[in-house]
Amino acid sequence: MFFRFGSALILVVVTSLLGIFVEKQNLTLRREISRQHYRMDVLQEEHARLRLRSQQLAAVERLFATIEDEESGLIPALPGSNTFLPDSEAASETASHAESSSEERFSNGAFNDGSSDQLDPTSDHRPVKSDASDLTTRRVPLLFWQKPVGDPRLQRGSK
Amino acid sequence: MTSRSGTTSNRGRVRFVSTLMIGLWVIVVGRLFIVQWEQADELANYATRQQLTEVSVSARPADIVDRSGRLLATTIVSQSLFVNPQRLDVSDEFIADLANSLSINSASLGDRIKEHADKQFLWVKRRVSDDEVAAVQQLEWPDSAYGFRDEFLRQYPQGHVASHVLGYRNIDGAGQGGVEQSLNYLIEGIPGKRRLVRDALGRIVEVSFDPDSEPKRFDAVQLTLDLTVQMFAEKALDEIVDEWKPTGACAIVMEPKSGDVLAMASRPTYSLSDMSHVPSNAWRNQAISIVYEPGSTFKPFIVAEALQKNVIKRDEMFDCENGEYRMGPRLLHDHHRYGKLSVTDVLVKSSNIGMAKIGERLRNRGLYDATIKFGFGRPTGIDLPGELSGILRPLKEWNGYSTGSIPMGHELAVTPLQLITAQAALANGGRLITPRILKGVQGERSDSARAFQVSLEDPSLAEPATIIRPTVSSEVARWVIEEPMTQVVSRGTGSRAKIPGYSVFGKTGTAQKMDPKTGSYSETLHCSSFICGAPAHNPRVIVLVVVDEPQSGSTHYGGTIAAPAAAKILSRSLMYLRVPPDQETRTAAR
Repeated sequence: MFFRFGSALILVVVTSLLGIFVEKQNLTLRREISRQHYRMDVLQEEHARLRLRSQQLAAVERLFATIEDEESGLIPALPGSNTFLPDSEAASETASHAESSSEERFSNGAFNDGSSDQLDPTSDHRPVKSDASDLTTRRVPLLFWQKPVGDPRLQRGSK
Repeated sequence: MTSRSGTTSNRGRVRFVSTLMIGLWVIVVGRLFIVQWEQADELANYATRQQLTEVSVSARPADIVDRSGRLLATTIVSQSLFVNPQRLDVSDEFIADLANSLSINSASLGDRIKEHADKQFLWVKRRVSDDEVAAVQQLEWPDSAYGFRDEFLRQYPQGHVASHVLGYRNIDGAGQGGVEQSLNYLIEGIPGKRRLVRDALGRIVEVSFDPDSEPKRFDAVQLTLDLTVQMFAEKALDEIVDEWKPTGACAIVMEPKSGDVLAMASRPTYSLSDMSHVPSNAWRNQAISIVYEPGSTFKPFIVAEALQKNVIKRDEMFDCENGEYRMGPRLLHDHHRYGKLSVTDVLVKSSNIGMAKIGERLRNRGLYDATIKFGFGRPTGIDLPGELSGILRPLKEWNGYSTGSIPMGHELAVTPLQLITAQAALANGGRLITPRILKGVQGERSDSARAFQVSLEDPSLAEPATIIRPTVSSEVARWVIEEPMTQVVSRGTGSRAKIPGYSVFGKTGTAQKMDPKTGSYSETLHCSSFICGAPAHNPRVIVLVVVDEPQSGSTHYGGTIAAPAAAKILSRSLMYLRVPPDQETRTAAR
């Protein structure tokens, strides 16, 4: 009699303790889920702020200023800015860099803003080889930062 | 005897206690029944109200990115400071400290707090910086006297670039102007709800997340703009403003085949990162919200329509009457005295008399059809607020003057966007396409491996281009682009737009403006414009520059003022977009 009563009592107590344990586990897990969502919110906010900062630092306007400084000769040209050209073109482009100043290249290239030669309707405007070479040369610094080295679309020999 | 009576007494006690116990159990069971059955819902709701609080969670507005994914607008969380005036000990020293911490005027702050002394909530400053938050916290107020509430703060990392296209979000988070307003239904998202579980002391012990109740939002709205091309346009306009001091200017760059607007810039402008000092005339997006007489830039459309209707032939010659032509009671003039000109030369020399004679062939009905066909007189349908429809009078109000005026781009007013859209139709083989600023959205349901796919929720956005209608045949459109408009640049009024290596087509425009004082055309107020594109045989990019009332300098011609800027934008865009030069190829082929 006593054994039966004791067993029943122990069973009830054990079941209750088990229930309490499960409930506590449940609460702990739910709290952890809440914490994870909170962390997610914090990380999303952090991501937004870092992304904003990176985009501010890499804003096109800032890069434009850098590029224009480079073109005006205030800062040296970026090394490897001829990465996108075939080897022969890159070599000639390097030579072109050495021979002509940045200012001369600007006035000869496709950034022509209406020089007297361009305005003369009687002049022959068919591009000669040097013009084409300059055109290619001009393209490089503009695109250097836009399509950085490593972009598979811009690897040498790729189509 | 005694033991029998004692037994009887014990039985009575046992019976009494048993009855009492049973009665109590009945009461307990009855109460349980009432609680668990009769009042179950009511009590459950009561408990829920005590434990759970449902709060609304705003959706973070979607980012805005350009066609390459570069960030144009994003949202971060900022804190706004509020106080409980009833709990504040308002002294002059306190107000001075608070104003100093927040960099605001202490007198006005003191007036506001004293004025609302009976209230329990008062905004002090919204969206304060992190430094200001730290400064306020150092004041060590009681917690019940103040608090910070999270609010979204819109940020524009590119400064003033494309400010008119983007618009902004006001202090309440509502989109104002630009795509912030027109695409607000995509940007703002749908608010969600979260349930907070509190303990007996009111502390939050759990935030219950239900995926169905979470805020719904797109990650990003992608525009057709290209930030680099936009920058080309912005720089060119800055140079125009420096050199010619106009009252306004705008530039649009468009991809004719898709109708994608690659750039849209307007002057005067403002910086989205500093909205405190915006000139009153800077809000207007001149690309869509001004109307002007297009002048000669309108002539190619009339020529195309005349060719389409076979009222003129490509090799036909027109007598331009040596610069003077009487058309009814009106005497028309050309800038130079021309004799006989071909159709091509009428456009190359921009002869008003030649165009008037083409207008006489088309008559008013044909001229009206041309304007309607090319989309003038109604909004283009771009997703930007404030677009004007231009001014096109009903045909019944046209008269003999109209026959001479319309072909030279007078008696009607267009928006710059209408003009470049019509030009895109010619460059696109005669198909008029709705210009597009929205490229797509990146949403929760889109395939993450393929960024910026249009959401499945709105498949209509996936349509690449909306063709409104055919205008003229592709042969006519190609001829107008490749012959007269290309020669305008190679040997005509647009020679300053030549780009080595590329076959550029274009048309200059110089329109007199109405003088509001005299009510007639002014001799000094002009609207100079130039529209161009390249390569002529397969146009990839077209550019329009409109300069309103250039003030400095001795000239007002579109070929002088607008053409160099348009050419600079075009040449840079062609190189950036890696459009190969076409004239080298042609020379080699010969």
